[in-house]
Amino acid sequence: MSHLNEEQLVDLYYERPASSYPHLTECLKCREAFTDLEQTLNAFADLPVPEPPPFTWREPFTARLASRWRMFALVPALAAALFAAFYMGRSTTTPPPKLAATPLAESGRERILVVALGNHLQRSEMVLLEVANGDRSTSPAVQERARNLIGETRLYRQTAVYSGDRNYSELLEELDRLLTAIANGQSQSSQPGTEQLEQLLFKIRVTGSNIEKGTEKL
Amino acid sequence: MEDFRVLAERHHKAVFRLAYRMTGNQQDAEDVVQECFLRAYKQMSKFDGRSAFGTWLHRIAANCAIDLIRSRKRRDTQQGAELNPEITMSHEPSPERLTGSVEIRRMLEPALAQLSDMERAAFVMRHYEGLCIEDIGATLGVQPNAAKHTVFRAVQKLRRALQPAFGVAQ
Repeated sequence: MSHLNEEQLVDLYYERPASSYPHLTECLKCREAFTDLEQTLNAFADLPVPEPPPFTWREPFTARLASRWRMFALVPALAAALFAAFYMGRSTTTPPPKLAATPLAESGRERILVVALGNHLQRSEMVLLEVANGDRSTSPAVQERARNLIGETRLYRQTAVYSGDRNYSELLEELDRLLTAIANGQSQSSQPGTEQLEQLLFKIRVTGSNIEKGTEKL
Repeated sequence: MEDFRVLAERHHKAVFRLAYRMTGNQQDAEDVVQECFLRAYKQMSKFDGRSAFGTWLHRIAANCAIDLIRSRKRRDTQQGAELNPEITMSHEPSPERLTGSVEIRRMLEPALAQLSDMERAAFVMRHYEGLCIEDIGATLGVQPNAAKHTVFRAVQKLRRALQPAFGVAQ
């Protein structure tokens, strides 16, 4: 008579009815082994689990985005400085000295600008999410945040237009329109529609994801 | 959006329980819950409805928990953190102390802490979530046979860990 091995006993515990192992009913040794296993595994049903904190809908999004903001808090200022330096450099007639480190500097600048754009899109996404989650009427705080983002959006858009990046410029143009509507919209009718908001949110997420992938490669 | 909010609220506690059992830590479990809902929201378009929403969500939560456990382990390794002696069962309680179920309950978390990340994840999904071997394999990214063996190894380790309580001959 061959006894059930431990693996078979585990299988039996989790999925197979005792009837599939007639041997178990006949063999005292295997029955005892199964009872031992059952006793141990049943004890884990008592593993204490604390009560979770109350469910809050916005928390996952705001917490995640807020942590990203903290990470990139200094990037917009740096990007603005680089942006200004870029245009000042273009307006000068003296050719820049050819330094061995130039390609690295260009790559670093590009990375910071792209990361700054990613950060800007995340902050915009946050505002759009608040509008989408809200009751379609925007609070003064959200309007204020939308207003603060408009200038930066236009700056990035101009850069995108100048560098011929059509995808970014179109996205930023659309974002500019929506942020302006949110910032100025006092009445429900002037607020952007749900479909329009969700389409833009989707585009922002896709672009943000591409930027994240792109900056990893840079 | 509103539909998703309702679903998230409905599954919040169950996702937390899964996350807590997998991470063994309340703060980590809360992080897993947040990350899970964020990922689920972003991947909503990928939900094809072939499985129940809860199953899909739990799979995401399990993956989030595995990611978190792995990153925590990397961080601990980098910081040269030592294992907490309380959770490594460096001391074995005497049989006299193990007469009550309270003592047995106290041994459960340390016993789970002895499992590897994969073993703990597989065991939690099998034991508490009632997932089939195929689903566990899919979540862990391994073949069903490997998933089955991982569950088995976990059970063996847990039995050994609880041996002082039950006196099981292994």
